[in-house]
Amino acid sequence: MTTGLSYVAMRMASAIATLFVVSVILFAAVDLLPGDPAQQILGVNATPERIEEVRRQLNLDDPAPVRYGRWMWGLLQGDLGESVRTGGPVEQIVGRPALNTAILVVVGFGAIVAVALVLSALSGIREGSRLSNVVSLGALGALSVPEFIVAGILIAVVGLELGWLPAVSLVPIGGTPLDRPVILVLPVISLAIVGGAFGARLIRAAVADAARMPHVEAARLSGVPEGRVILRHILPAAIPPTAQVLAFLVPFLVGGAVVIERIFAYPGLGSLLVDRVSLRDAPVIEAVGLLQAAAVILAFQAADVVGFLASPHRRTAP
Amino acid sequence: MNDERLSRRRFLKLTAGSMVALAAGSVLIGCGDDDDEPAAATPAATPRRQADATATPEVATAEATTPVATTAATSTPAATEAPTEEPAAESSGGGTVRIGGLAGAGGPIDPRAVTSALSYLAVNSVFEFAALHGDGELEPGAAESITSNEDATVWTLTLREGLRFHDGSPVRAQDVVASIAFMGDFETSPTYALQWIDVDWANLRAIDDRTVEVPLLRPRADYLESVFALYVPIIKEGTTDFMVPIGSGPYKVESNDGADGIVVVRNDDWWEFTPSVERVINVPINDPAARINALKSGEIDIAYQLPPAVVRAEEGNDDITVVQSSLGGAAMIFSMNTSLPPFDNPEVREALRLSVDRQTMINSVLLGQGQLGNDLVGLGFPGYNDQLPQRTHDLERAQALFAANGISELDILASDVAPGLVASAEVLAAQLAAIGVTLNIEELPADAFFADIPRLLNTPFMTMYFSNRPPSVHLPQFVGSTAVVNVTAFATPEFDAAMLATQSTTDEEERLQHLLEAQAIEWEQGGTIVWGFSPMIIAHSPRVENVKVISDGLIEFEDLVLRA
Amino acid sequence: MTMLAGQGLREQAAGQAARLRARPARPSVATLALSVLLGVVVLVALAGPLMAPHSESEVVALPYEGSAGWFGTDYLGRDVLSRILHGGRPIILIPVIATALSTLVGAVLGVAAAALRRDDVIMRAIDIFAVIPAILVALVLFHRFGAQAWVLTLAVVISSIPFTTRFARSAAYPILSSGYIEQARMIGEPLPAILVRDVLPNLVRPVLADAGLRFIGAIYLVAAAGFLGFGPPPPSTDWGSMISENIGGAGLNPWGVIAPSLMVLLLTIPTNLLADRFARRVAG
Repeated sequence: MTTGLSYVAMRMASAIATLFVVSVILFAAVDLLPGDPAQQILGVNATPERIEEVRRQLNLDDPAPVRYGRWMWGLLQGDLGESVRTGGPVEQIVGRPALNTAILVVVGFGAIVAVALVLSALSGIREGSRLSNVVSLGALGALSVPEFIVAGILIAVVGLELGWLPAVSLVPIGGTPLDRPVILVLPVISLAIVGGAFGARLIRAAVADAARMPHVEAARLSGVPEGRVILRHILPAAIPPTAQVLAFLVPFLVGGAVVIERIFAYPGLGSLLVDRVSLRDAPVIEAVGLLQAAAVILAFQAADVVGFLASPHRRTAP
Repeated sequence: MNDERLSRRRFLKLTAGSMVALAAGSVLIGCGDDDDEPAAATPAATPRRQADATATPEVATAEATTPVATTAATSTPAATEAPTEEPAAESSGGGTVRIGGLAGAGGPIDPRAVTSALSYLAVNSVFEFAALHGDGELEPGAAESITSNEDATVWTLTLREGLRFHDGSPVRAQDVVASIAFMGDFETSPTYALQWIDVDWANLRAIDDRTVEVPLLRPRADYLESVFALYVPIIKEGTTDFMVPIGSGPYKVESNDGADGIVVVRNDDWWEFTPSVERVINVPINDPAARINALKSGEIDIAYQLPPAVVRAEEGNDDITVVQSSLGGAAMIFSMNTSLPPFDNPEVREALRLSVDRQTMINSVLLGQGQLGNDLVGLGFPGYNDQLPQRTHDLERAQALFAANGISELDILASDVAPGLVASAEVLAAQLAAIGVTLNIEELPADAFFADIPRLLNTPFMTMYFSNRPPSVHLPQFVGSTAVVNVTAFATPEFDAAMLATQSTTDEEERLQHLLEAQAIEWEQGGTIVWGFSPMIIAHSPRVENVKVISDGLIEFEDLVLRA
Repeated sequence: MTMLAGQGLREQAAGQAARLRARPARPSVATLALSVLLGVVVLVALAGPLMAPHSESEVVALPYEGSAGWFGTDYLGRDVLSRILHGGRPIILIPVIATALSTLVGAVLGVAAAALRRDDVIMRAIDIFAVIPAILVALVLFHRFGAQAWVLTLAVVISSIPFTTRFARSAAYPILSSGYIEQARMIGEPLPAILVRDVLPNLVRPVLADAGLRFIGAIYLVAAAGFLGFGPPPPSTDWGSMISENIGGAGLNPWGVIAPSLMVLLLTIPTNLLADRFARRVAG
């Protein structure tokens, strides 16, 4: 019990430390963006005095560490700051898109796991059969299509030609995608096809490795029925590495959704990020980056905890 | 043109369409407006005269006491008594129209900071404007008359009777004073302030509830067409929050959220008539291909700002109607900085002008959808110098000039701030390659182009676009030593003198001559190559009717009608 | 999507390492066919500029003219076939370079982590790479430096390193902790010698297998960047950029979109299948 608690505490400390380092890197990266924000805000005709004044108001003349400190101090008090370009509190600007992307990511995650499990079940546990080879070859081939091509085909065929589903994913005014779940179908299929192929490959490897572990062989040799071998020996051993693999789907989904969001005009974090980077809206960019990083860290931690719980006798691979 | 109902054709984007993006988001900075409240003392009322009689048959009716008659077929009298909460007793139409367009980052609906197509459309429908440029003529807005004294040093603006803001409060002369001070404030509105630099702020004042007197520091005979009718949104005095601003235009803001877009509902108390469509939703769809897909799958009714291919691709498609702006649209430009080598050399500028095959440019970049340019902005507008010969390409002479000046390689900065500009650089590269000049293209993302202004002003050669507007409006802003933004750094004493004379001469005929002369100088020596005019292209479903693309590429929401 | 193929699986790597020598490579017919197909695509991409009937910038007809040349003309009236032939190099070379770099860096860091038992420091640092939103970094770099080849390469490398490092560490760990190596270390054999003689030879195949997966991810990323408008500077192009360039005229000349899409698929499908086969064989 104590080891469990201290393990969780250690993980949390490490998560916070990681997030802190990421915040420094994010801040530095955003500082790299070209152009003078004050000039951008004021436009071409601004007087030098006025630009200087705005620079002062935005504290742009302070050294970077001071500005970082101020930002971090605000963050610690739950203040994400205000957009320097469109005004308004950052949490208000980021809130809806974050929710939209979170929904896309969670549904997409589920779909990827489903596709991956089906595919790896076809080929993972008993490798080498002709059927599993043919199926996995065909599936893998189909799943090698980049998502923007998949999305383009789905839009052209399912969305426009057949008219079965909306070709763009506009979220109802003031609502969430869940108010009109049909808009999620095509984006999620596009994500699941590519993600599923990768996920399947990794899960299959994990399961195959688990199936080859000595105690599994031993169980088989001592006459334990195959079903029991799978349930009692292979699956538990496969869970920690599979959890790791699944955790790596999250950065893919969080970041990779930007292409899908653009093609389907889905109002998520990806589109927001693209817009705000070009506007050099540092507080918003940093908030989005931190949010994405936190989601990934959370996924990694969850995978570690799952792995820890699945095999309490040893600490799983980080 | 005004066969059905009066369109409020107008020009927003005071400082070129492209430059508008520069003024983005000033809310954080706060609004220091009203700092320049007028002092009490003013000169005695001076005799008014009919200003600009040729160009302003309606607006500038001196001493007019009745509102300018509207020709609106379905207009209802301005319901001055009705409180805004009360729904219109009987209003034809109804329903919702969804428009998909480039939204940028959302944000406030601030006339000083139009950041995207959608906020532009919203500003246009939410605010009433003093007066408006039409296709070749001025048209009425909130002002019943705008007149000047004999020497064009004092202008008087008289509001219509019974105008009301969306919150029910009356539009007063004091609000107009506040609006002018607001737009003319260098602190908060640097993009527009230069327009108002000639105002004698100390004496700007409201004479009574409907009359504003605008004294100037020097004679400006062109003030109606180049300032009052350009971009004077009527803003309620004391407005600081533009997320859901109060205007007096045909539509009211219902909600404004970055993710959702902007929702506006019709203003039943609008002075001119009651708009037919009840609600217009401006949906952010940043990818043009996605906009067409959204239209085709019925998710939106109007796709705003589309590539020219759509005109040919949707020919014969009964489900989609493609509409183009009639007048100009965007002037597509190669901009040479006349102060930087090699373009400080007039021969190199001439060589480049002669290298551009304008018709091929239009055929390739705009798929033939566009008008030929003659290196001047303002095609089709009054005062445009159409006596100059059409510039044609002369590769032999161009090659000789390039060779004589030792030019074998050029660099261009290209950005799709107007769709097709990068493509135009690519076509130019192919055209220059034919005469042995290599053109290196550096591409900037469209949204990053204006992020570094000093860089742009120090770039020898780049793609650029301007909204097509009358030369009397365009030139003073972008050419000459007193220009707001002199992109080509072109300024000669002759040009400046001609421009000054255009602004201060009260004699119409004489003014026009000066204007033509200024254009001739720019055409002959300047750094602007206008190879063509790209139309604003939109597409809509059969569900919506009467969709018109007016000057500056706008759609007037109040014109829209839903098919029953 | 490059993120995905991170096989940070100690068990798997252990299995791979153990079976390395036992499995001789005997390519099947399918493998051979896929290799030939991929070889042809790569050849077309690399030698394409030499075979193209026109330059990539030459305007040969009106835009979206379906009848001109094999695949008609693009949005500016340039020959689609010629641009296909010119547009293959970036989409192959950038992933190759990026994969080589990230695999090399990952191998060094991963082996170092395993050999020096400094998991805490190196792997924590690497975790940070995995956590930083790659898309944000890429966007910032594009805005700062423009969409140049090295920027794209760097973005791909940064997003790959966490996975290559994890994989290399997982693969090296069991080898280093085998009794044989432990003994060698105990009798005072220098670590570099052990690494070169015993560890590296055993790492080559699993790391190569992983590099195959990374390569696919890199192709996806480069194609997606092109599609999003971060392709090579005009008039150069790549297959991903061509898709988005010509999508507006898909109704007029569908080949402007279909041809580059097919090229992307002809590249990704065989690569994916081959990498998968290789990885499986290495994994046993």
